[in-house]
Parts: sequence; structure tokens; C-alpha cells
Amino acid sequence: MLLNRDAAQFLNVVDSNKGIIYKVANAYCRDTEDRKDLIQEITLQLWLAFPRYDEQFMLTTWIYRIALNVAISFFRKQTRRDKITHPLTEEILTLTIEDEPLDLASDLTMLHEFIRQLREFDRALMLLYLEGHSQSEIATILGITASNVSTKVGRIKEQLRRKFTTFKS
Amino acid sequence: MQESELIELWRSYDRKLEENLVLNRQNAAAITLIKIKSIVGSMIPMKIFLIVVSLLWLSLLCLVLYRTYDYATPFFWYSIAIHVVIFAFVTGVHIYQLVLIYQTDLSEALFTTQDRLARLKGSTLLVTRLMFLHAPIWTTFSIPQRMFENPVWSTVQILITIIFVVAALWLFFNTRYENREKKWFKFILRGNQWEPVVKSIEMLREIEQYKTGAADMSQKRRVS
Repeated sequence: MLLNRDAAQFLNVVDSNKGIIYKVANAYCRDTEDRKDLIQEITLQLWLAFPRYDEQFMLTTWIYRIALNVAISFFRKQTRRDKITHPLTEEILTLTIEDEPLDLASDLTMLHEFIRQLREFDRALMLLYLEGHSQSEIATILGITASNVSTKVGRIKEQLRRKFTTFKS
Repeated sequence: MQESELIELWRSYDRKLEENLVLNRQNAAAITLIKIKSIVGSMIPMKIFLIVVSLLWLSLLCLVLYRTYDYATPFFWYSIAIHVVIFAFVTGVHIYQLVLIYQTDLSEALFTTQDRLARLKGSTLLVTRLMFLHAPIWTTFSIPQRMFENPVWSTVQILITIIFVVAALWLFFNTRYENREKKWFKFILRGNQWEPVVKSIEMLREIEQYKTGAADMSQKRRVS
């Protein structure tokens, strides 16, 4: 397949940030098929927005914004658009091992489970927090104030801590 | 679990992805060859068509009102006039939706985009409420003057119109998100297209709560 310069550049961007796309899709879709569709939708929307990428924002901020916006809209939608427009059936991102540990009691599995139980915006916030973004970065991606981020993160962390404690005891 | 443990746990997940996540370049490259517009952008042609048809319909009705002012029955004239006013509001909502579509950009901040998308979807409920509101005019616009010479017919007509007016007003004021769980609401607004509308309104409230709730909390902290 012969690609133009933009497409080649785009693929490099996706390759370097594939973890972000996968983690967002994984947080919003438990079902493997839905997750595959969501990854496809995020990649497509990234491609459509690529020519308008505003360099005043960090590339990761731009990717997070699109991925989270698509994930939340996708999550809300009843009918899957891919059935009509997407000709692809193959995966864009493949995890070469099991995507979650088989040990259901493992902390990481529990963490994923707890994140999926959060409300959509809380989930986005927690994802960004765990990724190690600063409060002001999270605020820029979400469009709320940094103090708002701090309050919410505190509340969700407390929620998570309680869930872990309950589960372990 | 401590905060540091939580972060470390997430980093271990990161490392696992780093080592095992592979981009299928060929499949990703195929995406760059798809010639379609964005999800929101694809709604533009339909909206423009709807607005153009609505404006043509409104212009036609305005012309009818102007031409028939001298000789039409008051029932016909005022019924059509009410229809024009309500339909103008509906067209206004469609124009507002078109503006929202043009403004929507998925690369904007999450809350800004989701707020816009939720408003876009949620305003469909307003269109439905307005459509309910103009139901009574279908019982009045063809009333001839001579009907009132017959008391039976006029009583039947008045009764039907009153029922329609009461039902229309009741539906206009009660077709609200708060009543989404009521049986009549689910009966009238059933179907796949309504669920996203209700979810959108739910999301608008969540956005609102998110902003005000967190603000309240930080204020409380400052006070204490």
C-alpha cells in the first residue's frame, strides 16, 4: 500500500501513542469486539482530525482529548456506526499476550474492574491521574479547573481505596 | 491501597503494554484511505435539508396567511398562524443544532465537546414537545362558521378541541427528563432513537453536577 507523507507521519504518531488508545478503549469497553471497534473509531477520528492538529497543545493532550471524546460518545451510542461505514474487520492494535491476567483476584484486574465501574467522566479523570498527568494537564484535557480536578481525584481515590479494602477483607 | 502502590500497579500495566502491544500498520493504513466525514459532520447535509424544507414551508404558510387575511375564517387563519409560530421555533431549534454541529470538534476539551454533543441530542426532546404543542390546531383549522348553527356539532367540536388542548399542554409540560421512567413516557417515546436522547440529557446533568459538585466541595474545604 502506497502511503502519502501525511499518512506515514500519522502512522508514526499512532505507533508511538498506541498505549494511550488501547488504555482508553480498554477502560470504556470490556467486550473484546466492542473494544476493537472503539480502537478503530478512535484511530479514524484521529486521522480525520490530524490535518487540524494544533501544535500549541502537546500531542498526547490532543490524542487523549479525541480518544476520550470518541470513547464517551461511542459508549453512549446505541447503534454502532462501524456496521454501516467501516470496511475493516481486522484489528488495528494487537496485544500479543492475554490482555488481563488470568488471576481474577490480582490487584491489576481489580483496578481495571473498579475503573470500569466509575462514571464516564470519573473514569477519564482516573485514567489521566494514573497516567501521571499533572492537575493542570488533566484540567486542560478535560476542560475543568485544576482545583476541580484535585477535589474529584481525591474523592475517586478514596472510593478506590475503600473498594480495595472491602474486596481484600 | 496506598497511592504509590496504585501508581506502581498502573506502571506495571504500562510496561506490559509497552512490551506486548503491536500496531498492525497495514490495518491502520487502511483507515487513512477511508473517505468519510466525521461522525458529527455527517449529520450536516440532513440538517441543512431539514432547515431548507422548514423555511420553504414557513414561507408558503406566511404567503397563505397574507393572501387569505381578508376572507379566511378566523379558525383557519389563527390555526395556521399558531402553526407558523410554533414551527418557526422548531426551525430555530434545527438551526441551533446546526450551529452546534459546526462548533463540535472532538479535539476540544472533553467537557466542552460532550456538553455540545449532549445539547445537540437533548434538544430533540424540545422539538418533540413543540410538535405536541401544536396538535390542537389540526382540530380547529377546518372549522366552518356554519358549524355553530348546529349545537350538537359545535359541542362535539369544542369538546374535541378542549381534549386536544389539554393533552397537548400536558404533554408539552410533562415530556421532561424527570419523567423518563414513567410508563406513559416510555410508551410515547419508545424506540432506539430515544434512548440516546435521554442519555444525553443525563450526561448534561452529570456535567453540570461535575462542575458545581466539585466547586461546592472545594469551597467547603476552604471554609473549614
